[in-house]
Amino acid sequence: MTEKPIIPLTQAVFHILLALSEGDQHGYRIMQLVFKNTNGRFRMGPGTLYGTIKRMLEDGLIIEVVNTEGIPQTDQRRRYYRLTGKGREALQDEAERINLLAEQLRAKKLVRETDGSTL
Amino acid sequence: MNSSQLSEPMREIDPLIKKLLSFYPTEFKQRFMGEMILTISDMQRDGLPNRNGLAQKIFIIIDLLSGLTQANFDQRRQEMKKNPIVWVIGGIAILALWVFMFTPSLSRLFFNWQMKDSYLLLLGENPARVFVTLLDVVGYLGPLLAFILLLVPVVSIDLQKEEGFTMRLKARQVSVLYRGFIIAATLLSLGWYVILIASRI
Repeated sequence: MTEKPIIPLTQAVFHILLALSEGDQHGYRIMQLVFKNTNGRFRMGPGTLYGTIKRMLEDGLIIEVVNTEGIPQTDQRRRYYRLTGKGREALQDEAERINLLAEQLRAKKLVRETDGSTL
Repeated sequence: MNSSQLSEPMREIDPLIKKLLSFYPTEFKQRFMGEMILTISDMQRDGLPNRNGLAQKIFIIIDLLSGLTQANFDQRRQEMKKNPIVWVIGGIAILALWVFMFTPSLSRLFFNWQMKDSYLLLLGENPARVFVTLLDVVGYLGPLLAFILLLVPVVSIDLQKEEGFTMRLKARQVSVLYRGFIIAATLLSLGWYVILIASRI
């Protein structure tokens, strides 16, 4: 069986990778960061979060970190996750793909300026 | 993780949410359940993503329903990948049952062979009506149910949430033999229903 193509990433995978690009995080912190980074537009519940984390661990995009330096282990029950080389590469590939799409949209003058008007 | 470690956050969680969590596959529960309970407890404390308690509860329940459906599908698909032969043998057993059930009536219909009905062989010469009905239900609905159940491992559900929930079903080839069985079973099942309807018109 051929390996499942990673790109394009699903929204959940993309946002989790993006949250982990800021450093090792535990599940709830990832959820908070995704909510913050998307201004609440992408809301991830526990079912989506841990289902996606499980698949990302299996695909080698992230790993579980046992001892995380610099992060207070306020609760020993929490597990921390870290981006792998493959995960970072997937995030960069996805970023390039999105950038290319954005360039095409800008070229067609379909992107709104920050004041809300279309170019 | 033992139960004493989980007791405090577990107590704060809604009973329906607790019940839904119990439907996750065992392997998933062993790995993520403790963390999920903590996360749900934190969400309820912080009002994430909704401050409104009812809206938040509905959000978590819908999300868990989709999450546990996908987790169970994934689990069954993985089990089948590990041991496809069990599924193939199961499929052959169902096929054999169908052949046993339908051969007498088919042979009467096409070749005018006077074969004794399978239910008479199973239930005796003068079976109680309730057992005949029960066998009819199994005979007619069984193939459909079996087909649906056997199809589960070769289907993956991708859940993508963009301003709501969308569900995409994607058939995936797990094994050529297994796929062959699914096609054969479908054709046999459909063929049987067509013959059954035609014979009653």
